[in-house]
Amino acid sequence: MTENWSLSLTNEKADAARFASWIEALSADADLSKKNAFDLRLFFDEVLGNLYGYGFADGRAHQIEVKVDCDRSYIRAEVTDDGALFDPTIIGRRARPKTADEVTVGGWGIELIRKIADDLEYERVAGWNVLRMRFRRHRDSIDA
Amino acid sequence: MEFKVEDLDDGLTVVVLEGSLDFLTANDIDLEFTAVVASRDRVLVDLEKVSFMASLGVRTLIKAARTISRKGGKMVAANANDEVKEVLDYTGADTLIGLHDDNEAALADLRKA
Repeated sequence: MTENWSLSLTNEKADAARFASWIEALSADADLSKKNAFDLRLFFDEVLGNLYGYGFADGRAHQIEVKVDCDRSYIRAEVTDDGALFDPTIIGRRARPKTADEVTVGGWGIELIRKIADDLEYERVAGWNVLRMRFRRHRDSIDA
Repeated sequence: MEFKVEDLDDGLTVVVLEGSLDFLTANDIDLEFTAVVASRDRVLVDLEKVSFMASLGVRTLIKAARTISRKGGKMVAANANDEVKEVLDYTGADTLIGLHDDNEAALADLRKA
């Protein structure tokens, strides 16, 4: 059986505040393991953080749609927005810093998403960015 | 995100964070961290009550650690949960910010600095 959840947001930062309670409620509702809940939130945080920070520079109102569906094996997450074309999957890989001097303040969002995702795909559909991620579901008893 | 500062008698400072360090809250504590690191050079960030951290949260910590490091000081962190630890490790932030399992070990590390 597949369960699904969705949330519509605008690009107003005040509207983004609804995300936190939505993802917490969803994680409880879906009985996600601690790790799955954290990773799901991490995916969305990285994508939404980028959108709210840089995705809408034209000063206009924009829409963001956030979706999750879960079955026994997988969790699928999707973010759709009507901002400028942006495909994060083509951003080059970066290596973990080996020394303190190599540590940089930014640029880790997509790498953290890649770490979580078993599958990650992007497409541009009728003026909308669509980013989809899938990762394996596991139980807390397996996590231990 | 709650942000509390405790200055200890021996010149060390403990910053206790509570809540989620995410895209909504990370920028909110940037100013507070800036104020703390401007006037202190040995800081422990207690992450026990940080339930979630994403890259913008890591960015806030790295900026603070860099500022202290440039002054010849040191910033360490302690008590991160497994998932937060994983984020700090994956981004390499733990090469700049020493991670410890408890405050005692973290403070001992700062005293050596």
